[in-house]
Amino acid sequence: MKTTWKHTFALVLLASGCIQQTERTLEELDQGEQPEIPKVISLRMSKYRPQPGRQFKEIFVSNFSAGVARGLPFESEGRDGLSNELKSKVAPLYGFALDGPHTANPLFSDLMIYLSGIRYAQQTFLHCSSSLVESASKDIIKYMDNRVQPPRLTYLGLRDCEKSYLGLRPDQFDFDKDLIPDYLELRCGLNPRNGSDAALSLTGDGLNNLEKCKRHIPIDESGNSQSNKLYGYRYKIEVDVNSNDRVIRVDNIPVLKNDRQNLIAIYIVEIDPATTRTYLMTAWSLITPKAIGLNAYEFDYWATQNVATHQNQEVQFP
Amino acid sequence: MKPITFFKKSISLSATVIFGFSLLLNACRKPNLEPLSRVSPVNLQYIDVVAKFCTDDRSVARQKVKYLFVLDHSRSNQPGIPDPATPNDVNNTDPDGARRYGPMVAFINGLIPDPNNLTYFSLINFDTTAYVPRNMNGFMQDPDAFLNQVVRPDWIGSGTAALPAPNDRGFTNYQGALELALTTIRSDAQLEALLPSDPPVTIQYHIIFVTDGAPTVPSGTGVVTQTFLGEISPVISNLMNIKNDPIYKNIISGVALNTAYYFQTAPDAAAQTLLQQMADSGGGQYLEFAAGQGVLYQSFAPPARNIKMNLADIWIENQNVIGWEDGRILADFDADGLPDEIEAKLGSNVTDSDSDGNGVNDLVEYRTKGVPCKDAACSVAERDPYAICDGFAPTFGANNKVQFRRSSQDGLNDCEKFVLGAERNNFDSNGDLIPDRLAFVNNIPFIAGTSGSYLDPYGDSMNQYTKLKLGYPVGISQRSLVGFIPRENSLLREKDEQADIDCYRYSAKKVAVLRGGDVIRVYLIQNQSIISNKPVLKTVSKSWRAGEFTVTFERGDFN
Repeated sequence: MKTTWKHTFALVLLASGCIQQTERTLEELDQGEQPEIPKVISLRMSKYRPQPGRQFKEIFVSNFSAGVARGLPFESEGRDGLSNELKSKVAPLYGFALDGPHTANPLFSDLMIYLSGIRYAQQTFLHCSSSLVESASKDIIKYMDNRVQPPRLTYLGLRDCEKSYLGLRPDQFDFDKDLIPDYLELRCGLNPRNGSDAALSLTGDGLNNLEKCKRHIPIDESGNSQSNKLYGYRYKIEVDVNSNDRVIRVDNIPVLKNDRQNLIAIYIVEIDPATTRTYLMTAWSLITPKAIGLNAYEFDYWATQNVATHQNQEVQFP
Repeated sequence: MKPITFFKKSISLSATVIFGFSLLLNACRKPNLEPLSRVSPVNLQYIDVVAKFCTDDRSVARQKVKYLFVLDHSRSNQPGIPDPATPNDVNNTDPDGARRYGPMVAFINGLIPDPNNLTYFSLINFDTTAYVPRNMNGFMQDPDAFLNQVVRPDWIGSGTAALPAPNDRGFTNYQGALELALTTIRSDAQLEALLPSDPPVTIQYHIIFVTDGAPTVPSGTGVVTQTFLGEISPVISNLMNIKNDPIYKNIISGVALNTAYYFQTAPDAAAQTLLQQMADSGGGQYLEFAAGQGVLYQSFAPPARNIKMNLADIWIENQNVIGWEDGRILADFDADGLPDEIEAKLGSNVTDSDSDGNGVNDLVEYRTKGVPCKDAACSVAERDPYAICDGFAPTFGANNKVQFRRSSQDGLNDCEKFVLGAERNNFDSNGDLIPDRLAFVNNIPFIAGTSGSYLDPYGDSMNQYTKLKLGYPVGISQRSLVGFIPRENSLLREKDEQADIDCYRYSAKKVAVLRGGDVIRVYLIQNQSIISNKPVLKTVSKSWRAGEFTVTFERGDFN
């Protein structure tokens, strides 16, 4: 791909005003390796305040629809942690379809089946008790997928039957207590039963696996590679000293362009320091960049004290 | 501000006084202020180490599926007697055992042998009480033996092969049956826990509970029905908790209680509800088999699986260059972890990792006793015999040199592990994914229950884990090191490989070496991606030849 003035102009616009970043983007283009430069957006969440008696511990923001791995952007139509490329590659063994997170058995996700290696013919032997179809710890993202007709109720996360099959506890969202919710561990290539792996730095680059998981840098890639420097999420947390509210800003989220939907999921982990028990708050949003035409999406924190449910809240933008 | 003004006013008169003061202060502080700054006393060179490898394919993550059949032998299976004691049972449900045993034989015969999903079988019967049938002991792996020695005789009962008549009598004690299932699984798990396997194999216990009616048991002269909350649910919760037991949790991947209800005319709603509740709380499935239908055991079978392996961590070590306790980088010819200079002072042999030949290397003896050998001359005659390790079956080499097995791959032998309080069969006793020997040599806690790799005792913004990764000696602040070059690590995933395995190229630049012949060791740690948490270690060593710039480990080296 040749750099033209038009490109440069578009890139300057896309890079949300960051000159330095624009220069880097150009450098990458010159190598001619990138088939398509993903657009990046920012999220800015205001008025975040932990629940009374709790402390803020972690935040994970993810675009479940797209990402960058091995220097190349990828799409995940099922939004389930498996890229279209991988899913198509292993489809003959597992019978996966691209358009959703579940295929043959609606109660077990393709991600779980892929990692466990349960071949298509064996999937009929996966059973789930009727009492285990939902999520006791409410750590699941549940939404209507309107890309198919009629719209389909879709679960992103580990339902209780999956957790119990995997030896995890349905009443907990973080079995090994490393502060990464079990489902995100699977998506990041970590073991939800191993409490040590979050702190490791597999590639020896000084960034530990938790930071990488959070920033969507594949844990087996160096954080110093050019594409990971360019497309790793960046978190910035500020505290308003007067109200004690926080503003959490996440920049550099790669998204599918134009009229394509992106499912953005937000997980916040809080801890009660007295009991060391952790709590999870989740929200999601469907963002179609062209329809809104924004690069920065601003919203107020969803789990205020007068809101009944703090999990699985849909966030909408004006 | 005020005190300072006051200070100036009163004392600024005399410069001599201040001078005297500062001298005094310096004199007091001086011994404490000496910086712990080390220039490497040896002439280090730096090389690159490259390791190319792939993760293991899925077959390594094997599982054992252990089927425990629990069969109803209550009297209602048999014809003829309308039994007032079991009013809920519909009579004559399975007089010749064809519904219970026929499909079981077919199911077991139909299992296709799969080396990654090994199957085992056991059988429990219950009527008024629960019991283990003749010839049944724990779990059996051989399907033919299980069928011929246990299932068929139990099926035939008091009849003949042509006309089987299972011994069906009495009541329907669910609670007793579940308690016996619990005992059977516990004692099997105990045995399994004693036999660690490498590569790791996890066990899935799969109970198939088969009955024809509600749980009625005699009580005094009358009859009572066991209830879910009263008698049944507590036992199920004990069954489900086995896998959370610290002793078993690494070997048991799951316990599932499946329930099957076979009836003849109309199903009993109370039995249906109860069996459904049991399967729900037991993480299993409930199925019904109406008039004459055999129990379809294959519907309960868990799916065969082949778990993906993930790369968990990589370590690279030059076994002949030691970051000693005082922060200095020293040569260690015999790679026992005790540097040559220290060995020379202590009187042990610089060229023999176990100078007195008692099977416990010089560093282990030094760390546990303060001396590498019992006597100053490190003589064989005067050495510590380490009789406590006799149980580990030592062998004796030339010069009466004792050798112990290395059950774990990390480099410490069984006796050394025992003496240090580490786990013999586990390369990483505290689960921090730093292999025990590597942690031990570098003075990082490695015994189960201890941790310390993420601490930063020198306050130099670098934890022990990172120092080890970057090749720093961990016993000194990295800021006080003079002239030492840390490693530059990088991991590259190789493109266009199979979807199931990941292939990598790890390179550590600037690995410190001293002399030709230095042994570079690569530790590769993999873990299952899901279900089980049992990391496995592979180690490979190569010598560096003086003059070479790179030591390369090829994929084949890791097989």
